[in-house]
Amino acid sequence: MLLPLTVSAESQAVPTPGYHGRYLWVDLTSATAELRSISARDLRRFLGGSGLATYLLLYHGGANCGPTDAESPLVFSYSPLVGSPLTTSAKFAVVSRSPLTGMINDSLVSSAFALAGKRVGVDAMVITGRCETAHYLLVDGLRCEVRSAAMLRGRSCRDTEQALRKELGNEFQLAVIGPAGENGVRYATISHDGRHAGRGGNGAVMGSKNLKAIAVRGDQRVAWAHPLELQLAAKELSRRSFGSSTSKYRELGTAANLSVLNRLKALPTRNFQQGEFAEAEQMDPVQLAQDYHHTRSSCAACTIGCEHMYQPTSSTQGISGQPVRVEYENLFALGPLCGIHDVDAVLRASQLCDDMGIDTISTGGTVAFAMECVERGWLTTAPWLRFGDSHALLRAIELIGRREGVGVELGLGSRAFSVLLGPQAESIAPHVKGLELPGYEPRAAQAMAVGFAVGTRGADHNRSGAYQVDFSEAVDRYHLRTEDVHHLLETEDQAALFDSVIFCKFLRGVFADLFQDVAEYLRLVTGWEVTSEELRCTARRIVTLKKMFNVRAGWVPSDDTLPERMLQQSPIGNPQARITSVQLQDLVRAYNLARGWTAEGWVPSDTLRPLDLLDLVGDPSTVPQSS
Amino acid sequence: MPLQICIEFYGSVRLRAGESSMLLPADDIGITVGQALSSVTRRFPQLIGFCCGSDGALQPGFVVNVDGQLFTRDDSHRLLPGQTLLVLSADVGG
Repeated sequence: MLLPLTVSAESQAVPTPGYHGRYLWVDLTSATAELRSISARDLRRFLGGSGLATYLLLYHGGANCGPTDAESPLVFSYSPLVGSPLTTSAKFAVVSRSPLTGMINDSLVSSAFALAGKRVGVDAMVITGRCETAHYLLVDGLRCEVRSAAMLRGRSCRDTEQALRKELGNEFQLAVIGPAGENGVRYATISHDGRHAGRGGNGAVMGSKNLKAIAVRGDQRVAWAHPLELQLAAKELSRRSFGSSTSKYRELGTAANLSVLNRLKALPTRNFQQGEFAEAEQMDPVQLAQDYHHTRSSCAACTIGCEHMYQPTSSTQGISGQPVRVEYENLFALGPLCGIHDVDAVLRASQLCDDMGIDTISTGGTVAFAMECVERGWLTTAPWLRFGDSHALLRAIELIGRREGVGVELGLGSRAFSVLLGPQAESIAPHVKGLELPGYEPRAAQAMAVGFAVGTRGADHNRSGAYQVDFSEAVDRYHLRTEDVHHLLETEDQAALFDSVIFCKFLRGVFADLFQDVAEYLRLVTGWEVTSEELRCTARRIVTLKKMFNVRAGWVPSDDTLPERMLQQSPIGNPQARITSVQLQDLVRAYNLARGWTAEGWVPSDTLRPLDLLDLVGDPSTVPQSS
Repeated sequence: MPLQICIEFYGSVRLRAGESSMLLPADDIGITVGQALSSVTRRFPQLIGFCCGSDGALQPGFVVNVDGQLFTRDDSHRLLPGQTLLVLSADVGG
């Protein structure tokens, strides 16, 4: 069915270079679409990516409806740099209210979908409403159509992409969900070319709209303010991206973290009971490259090429032996966190997660939690779920994706599952705000502990890179002081800029001064005379906007904490890894005050005003505040 | 028991060295990080210009850690016999 498109007069205005100055709004319920303008002021306030998408989500009432309600918006957002010759800029953000946390959820994913999506002629796409049955959305330039996806129901992410590619041709780029998204698994992903907008359940939001896939194609290019200078700057950035600061990613990928974190006793093992895994060295990528066929790949428009693929040695349990992308996070979550050292099984589990369309961190976290509950006798309906049992892991992933058996409860995530099992189980559920912890033992990385606790997305290492602070000379990671929290703010602000402008964070070691360098790139792309000080303010604005979204969505100060066990016990074998509830709350208060918020974390109007946010979030006195 | 300091390599450093660790002799007062890294480059010249110079100075993008506890870039930091020096990318995590 072709969707009638309404075009507002404002959306026809000459846009700022780097932008189209408009977004596509699609209502699946009424089968209508509109082209709406975005003002130059709003583009400069929120840049693109995560920042712009959060703004659009809030503007379209995303905090006022349930994550899987029909009217819940799902936002795809590009950035001014997308399509430019700047390396690693082909990325997009997917933002919604998370079904896992109930809070803001912004996921970034790379590659050609960003390029094709922006060439549609828009800076973002807001999808609301719900199809009556399974459909996919085709956006061909400004021609929007919904088509039946009945034949795609239940098919894996990979199969769905292959089928649509066969039907539509290679010019269309695809974002799809797997069975997990269709079945409402709360940590379902959206997949593009095997890469995933992974965390927080955007795939479940898409599935709740009966939207199996989105296909985009276009030929609208934006102008660049200073194209010749931009070409030169891009060439220089590419040259620098080949240096030693990115060698880890290029040569080994993030999997190289595993041995290091194990040595630092910060590798979460057996549901965070330990910070070391005896078999970790078997999973080191230097070893993997010797044991498995190893290939390398990169996203579109990227010179780093961080993707490392390893091929399982045989095909079992219906999982093909195709090359599997290996990142630290899937290695840790499906390996040590579940007590599993069988690398072949971890590769197969990763592939199965990708096919089902589920986040590997939340999958590993929830399964590991269930394994410990079985061990302690708190979960009796799935006695086969045992630490170290790779067959159990694969079986659990299959059940999660299909929402069958214990997969129904596992698909809720560890927080909601633990509530069903009782207070003891709740105390060991490895989440913050419902989002499972990534691969950093917070008691042995206390800057990261605070970053997890205050994270607007929940326990997250991409919106707060505080682990960089822990693993540096800057702090004592076992004894963080309140005066150290400014380091956390810096990593959060940097992440907000990376995710909104958008650059890949793996470039971080390449920039001499991130804010200064990005200001120059933005000048070349947009023509804005933007300063590093302005960008610092922009980053703070975006962080605060996400917080305000959460306040609207029901955030309360007690949400900013860690799992109870982590505040009461050290990991086995590392007694110095200890943080108490009082210590954590002191650090959280120091963080809040450093942000210009109240000690509890409410955002006063005195802070909103200089961030130019009052108009969007309204009168802050309408939300509870306390000094 | 001879007086020794263990050097452990991680990530790209391990890949280039082709080994995961090496032992250095040390007397009672130990050696500095710079001296240790100098010895490393004599044994593994392929690391010169990558993670450190031939004088033992750390290159940008790399860091060392003592005993899994203390991160430092100070090449005058003194290592004592029995201690372990980890040589790794400064970009731990990601």
